[in-house]
Amino acid sequence: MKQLQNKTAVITGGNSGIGLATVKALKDRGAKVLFTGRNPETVAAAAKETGTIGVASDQSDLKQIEHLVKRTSQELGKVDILFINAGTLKIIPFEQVTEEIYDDYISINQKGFYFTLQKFLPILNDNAAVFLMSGSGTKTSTFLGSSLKFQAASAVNSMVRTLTLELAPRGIRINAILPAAVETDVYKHAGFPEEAIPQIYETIVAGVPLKRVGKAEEVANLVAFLASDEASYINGVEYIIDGGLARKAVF
Amino acid sequence: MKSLQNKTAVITGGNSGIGLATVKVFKDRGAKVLFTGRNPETVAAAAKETGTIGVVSDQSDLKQIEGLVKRTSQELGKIDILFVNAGTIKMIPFGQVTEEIFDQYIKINQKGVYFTIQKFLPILNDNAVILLMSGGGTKTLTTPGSSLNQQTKSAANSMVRTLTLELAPRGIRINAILPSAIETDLMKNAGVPEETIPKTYGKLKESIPVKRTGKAEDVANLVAFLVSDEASYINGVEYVIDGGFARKAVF
Repeated sequence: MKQLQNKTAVITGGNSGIGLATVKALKDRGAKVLFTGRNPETVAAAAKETGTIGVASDQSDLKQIEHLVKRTSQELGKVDILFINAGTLKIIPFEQVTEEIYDDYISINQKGFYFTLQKFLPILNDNAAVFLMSGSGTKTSTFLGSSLKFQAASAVNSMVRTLTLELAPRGIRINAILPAAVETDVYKHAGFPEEAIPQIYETIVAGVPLKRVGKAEEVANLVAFLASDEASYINGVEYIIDGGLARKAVF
Repeated sequence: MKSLQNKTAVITGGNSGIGLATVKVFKDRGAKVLFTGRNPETVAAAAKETGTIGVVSDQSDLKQIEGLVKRTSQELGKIDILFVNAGTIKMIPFGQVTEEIFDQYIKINQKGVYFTIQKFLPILNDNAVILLMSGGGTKTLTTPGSSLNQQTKSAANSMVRTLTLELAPRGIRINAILPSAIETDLMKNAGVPEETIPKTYGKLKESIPVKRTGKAEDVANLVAFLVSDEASYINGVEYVIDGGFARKAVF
């Protein structure tokens, strides 16, 4: 029997990067997967590519979250695995963050996480596993212009610490994944010119003890393991996956 | 193909508890396993039970570590996986720790870990994986009388932080496992009266969000994942496994 046979799984932001790799990894291991994305075209393409259910939905809008829950319930019934992964990345100097930029960023990357989980609770099975996408910079070093990113991701980590207890009566586990130095389209989406991206990765690789960036599939492997019954005693923790970047020498 | 097919693995302290569970899981997943223990009878019994190679060796004695490396080299050639797991536990009030007790404890649980890794380096394959047994209490809460235990475990954590960089040129990954609230013979071995142990675990269960204590197999599953190729980007980190115990409510 496959590791995740007959499990039902929801992944937000499953149309690209780590989310898409996780859709594939969970599907390969036998799960029935529904994923979301904001862009209808990439959602449709990813659904076709992976043979899973894609739903266009924006996690910054509570009404859309509620609709997503209803749709999920119709498609999958109750849910065993919820991976809240959708998010945007904006690298921007602290002084240039306007109230509008702030509200918009928090709305999707922090408030959206909070209410996605809250609204999904009624259709989560007892003993379900919840995963939150965070960032290893919340525990270690950060980079210039990351004040918004790590504020939201730190808030997400706090949900693990507080909700472990509130979800425990139903046997629901909750953990965070803290990746760094993983190669995805995130920098392109963050607004970096495409020609600058190889240089960014070169700089990152110089600081990674394993001397390479991670692949989205490697994060997906960790999520798949943590979602399985083999990991049933792993709860309330934040797992860094960064090739050792956090151990970078200071001199 | 099994996830550890054709890998060679050494586990110190493999004759009981988490070590023994890991010997079995590695074997089941296709690895060739050699383990150690101090007690010749339990080593022989565990070797017979698991169909692996058991070697009597005391990690507090550098000469024995060197003998072990030589023997391992003869039996398995080069090594892909080294799980430095052996250790003792002594729960003793701070005021009662004599210099002799201190020296003895550090020798096996800290210095022994240090030199086991150092002496094994020449026979580790490039891209090998090292795992260190630590304790969840090093990151969270402790219990009275655990000053020695947590001191040596914290030292083990420090090795992850420092050696990640020194081992990186050979592609060797190093991580620590930080379990808490796992039911093994540890308490009995620590001198806790046998009749009080069920009550201790019973009380413990109430404060663990997943409402059970961990099994040695829970930890072995995590170890087996981390040493597999699926975890090839996980490096230099400390993974807590405690059922959510660290998130215990303070009031």
